[in-house]
Amino acid sequence: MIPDRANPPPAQANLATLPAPAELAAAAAADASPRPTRLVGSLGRLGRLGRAWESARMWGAISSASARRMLRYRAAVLASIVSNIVLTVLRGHLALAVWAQRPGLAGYDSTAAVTFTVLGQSLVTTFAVFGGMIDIPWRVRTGSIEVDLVRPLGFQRWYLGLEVGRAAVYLASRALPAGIVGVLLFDLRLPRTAGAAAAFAMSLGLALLVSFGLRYLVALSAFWMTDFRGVQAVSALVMMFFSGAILPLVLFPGALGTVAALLPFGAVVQTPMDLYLGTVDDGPVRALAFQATWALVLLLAGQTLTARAIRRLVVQNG
Amino acid sequence: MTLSSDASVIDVSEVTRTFVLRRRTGWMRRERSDVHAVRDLSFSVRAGEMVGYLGPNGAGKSTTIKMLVGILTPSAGRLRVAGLDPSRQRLRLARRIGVVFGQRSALWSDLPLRDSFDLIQRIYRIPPARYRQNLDEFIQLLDLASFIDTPVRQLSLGQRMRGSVTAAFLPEPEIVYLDEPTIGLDVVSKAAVRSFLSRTNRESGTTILLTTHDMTDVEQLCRRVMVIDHGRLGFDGTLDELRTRIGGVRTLRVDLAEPQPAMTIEGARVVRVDGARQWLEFSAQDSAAPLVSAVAARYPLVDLAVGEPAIEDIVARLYTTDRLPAVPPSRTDPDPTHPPSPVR
Ligand SMILES: Nc1ncnc2c1ncn2[C@@H]1O[C@H](COP(=O)(O)OP(=O)(O)OP(=O)(O)O)[C@@H](O)[C@H]1O
Ligand SMILES: [Mg+2]
Repeated sequence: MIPDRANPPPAQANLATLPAPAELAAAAAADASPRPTRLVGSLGRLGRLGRAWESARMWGAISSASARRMLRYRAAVLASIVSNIVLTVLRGHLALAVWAQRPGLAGYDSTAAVTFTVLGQSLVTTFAVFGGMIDIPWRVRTGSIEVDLVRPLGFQRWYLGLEVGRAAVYLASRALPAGIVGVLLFDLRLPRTAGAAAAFAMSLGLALLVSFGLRYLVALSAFWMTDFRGVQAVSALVMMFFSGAILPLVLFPGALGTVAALLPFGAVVQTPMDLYLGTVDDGPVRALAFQATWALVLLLAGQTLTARAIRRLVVQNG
Repeated sequence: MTLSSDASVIDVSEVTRTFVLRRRTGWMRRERSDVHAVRDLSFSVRAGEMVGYLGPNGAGKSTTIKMLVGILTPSAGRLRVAGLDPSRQRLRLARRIGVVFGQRSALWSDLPLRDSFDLIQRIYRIPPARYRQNLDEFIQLLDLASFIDTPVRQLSLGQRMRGSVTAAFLPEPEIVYLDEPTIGLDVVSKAAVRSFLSRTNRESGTTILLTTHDMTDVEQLCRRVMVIDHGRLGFDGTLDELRTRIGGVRTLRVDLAEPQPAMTIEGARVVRVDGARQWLEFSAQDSAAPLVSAVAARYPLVDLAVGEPAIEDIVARLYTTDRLPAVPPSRTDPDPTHPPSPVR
């Protein structure tokens, strides 16, 4: 029941009897003083551990909301499951056919080749190597970005929180079904040791950070550019090509190969794949350190660029 | 420092905001033009006030709010909200304020309305018991029960606005800005939002600044009104003061014992006669009392009623009058070193 509907306040009579603003404000201030219950003040009671726990729950809730948002589109999720399974079957058979013709191509046997294909596809979808998936350009264009700026949370963190949710959905709805079908249908290689499996699992987390770091920088460019699509398309191509998803980076000839091995893109697909297959030359620690370094550099760069983007928006607004 | 200036939570002094527009006028040629969205704006708001911020389209209302929340820097002047510099301390300030941008929603459009609220609880770390208590109260006051589990995307404009208002108030902010909270709402939604705002202002002492084009909002909610036009503050005071200042006419309706020819009364003019009933117009600045006694002394008076000038008419006159009335010495800013902004 809305009180007003039953008994609307008499508009004009009200005004005549209203006290002056000064008195009212004073009255309100007097009322407000014995209210220690403002939430802002009540945070201090939590210990450091309590605060960390609260913080973890908050980020969990943000990622979960991001994931649930995608899962609302049931048909799209279902379609992505089916299409990824079909694609896995096709690409797996294609790889088998190629390696049957040219055994030992790229130093892979046919099992390694199928594993590379299926795993590559899973990594590409989970880490959105095809680019985009960060909402910033659209929000800048429509002005919704203002809503992001009145939230009491860092801008980059917020989008990372959303990204974790997205990656989880993609992992569950694209990578896992494809991987399961791959294991059932083809003679996929599994990590040889528990250590390799653990290193692979760790590398997945770092790959997500690197992939996010890259796409976030690209998305931020929307603050400076009116037409964002060009940057988006070019960056997606570069990311795809140098990630090692199309062709293993070891196959890149000469200087191109050297450069490709140093760029961050390989940290998204090639490095996890190497750790999975156990084909890293200098052990897993170095591979993980390579990923971690790029993750740190990209996230710091993202932070710096975020500050500049926001300053630009706040000072120029357009 | 006086007590009164301590109590003010919003302090705006001589704030100007200029937008630079660069327009392409030809091949490689660009023209630069300045839009003065806000000029020399000064006002202050005390804790617990509810202020209506009025002005025609493009007057600078939204620009002011954006500066107050810190997503736009002033080109000149000084701004303090809750003791903070909004654009420099945006994140710290964000914990203490709430905002509703009329058309832009902070809600998750694909998720049920409730999910947005649950997330707000996590972000602002609202203790669970307090959150449940607040939410139950808001659900009741804003009549959210029937659609709280519906995805926001499927909500009507009015339902979404009530959701946005809830989202802004859930963390119990000290200050809430509402940019056109009743735009496009039907009578029922408007009434719900209004009574919610006035109740929260009254009971929680929340400071509220709202822009609107709906004069009923102002009449029912705002003791204090600020009118801005072309970026300048044209008026700051109570609604009654606004009525008096801008002039206008009030009407006195009198019912006589029997039909009479049009009365002749000093200081008033008969505008209509209908049987025994007559309508007189008199200046809004004048008191009705002497007029009434003059009528009563000379005519067989049965009944009477005084009609106030419609606030719409007053504000329309304020916008269209070239010569804006002098700004009255602001009641909330007793500091004589900060005179109100000059009149255009
Ligand atoms: N980002 C911007 N770039 C350039 N000019 C702007 C920008 N934002 C606002 N303006 C201009 O500043 C002036 C004030 O705009 P503002 O949005 O504050 O008006 P308003 O009072 O909120 O109007 P309305 O009632 O229509 O919402 C207008 O002339 C507008 O064109
Ligand atoms: Mg506006």
